[in-house]
Amino acid sequence: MANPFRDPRVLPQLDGSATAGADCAFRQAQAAILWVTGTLVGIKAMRSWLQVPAGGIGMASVRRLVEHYAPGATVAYTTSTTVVWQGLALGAYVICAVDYGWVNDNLPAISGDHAFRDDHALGLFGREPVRKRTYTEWHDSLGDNRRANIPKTNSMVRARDANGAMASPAHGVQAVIVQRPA
Amino acid sequence: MGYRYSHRRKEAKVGSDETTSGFDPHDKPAEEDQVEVPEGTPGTPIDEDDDGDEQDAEVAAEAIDAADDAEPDGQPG
Repeated sequence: MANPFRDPRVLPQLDGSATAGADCAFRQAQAAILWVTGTLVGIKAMRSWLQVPAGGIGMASVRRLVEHYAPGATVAYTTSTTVVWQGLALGAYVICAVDYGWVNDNLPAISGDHAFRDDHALGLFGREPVRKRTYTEWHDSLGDNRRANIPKTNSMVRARDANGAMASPAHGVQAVIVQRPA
Repeated sequence: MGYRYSHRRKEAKVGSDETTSGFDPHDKPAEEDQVEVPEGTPGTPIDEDDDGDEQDAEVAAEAIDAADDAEPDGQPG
């Protein structure tokens, strides 16, 4: 199976549909479900099942979506970056909330929208040591290369940068950890 | 036919390029639903090494070298 986090049916988020601008958490749930099951579930179907026809969702709904559409997965919620990194070390996919203002201020090279400064959901996958540091893959559904200065799909980020993006002063760390069945 | 085509294209553009907040921080599981910290796996990485800036410069220099190597001779930058 192709990498679901690079799947052109999952990315880009801004695909021209009416709800596209607020679909970030749905896109992450979609990628996680595809990763676990190999099945692509449409945004409209997920919105219909949740009865959320428009607007954004949070980690409670993300968790419900993954548990419903990928019943074989182990799904957990955490507010701890320690647990996030433990999950990444165990090969889990982590859907996390980030403060996109922080991303634009501190990581402009990997920003998918330089004008956006609100809450955003994206995914982290893998935990790789590089020269005494730890990196993870950053799956941002806004990273769709639609403009010249926006990266295409995924980037590698340092642990401290991922933690900085997750540590929103408004709502703290919120993350859903998804593990495929063994 | 031409009219119908342009009409469909216009509809498809609705809401296309505007990022809005797609994450609702209040829609979260109860605190007691949080996962336990599993033992025996590494915790939060600490990578605030003293030579951080130097390493960043090294990585950046390598990236520039790689880009230079990949660029065909005679092409404008």
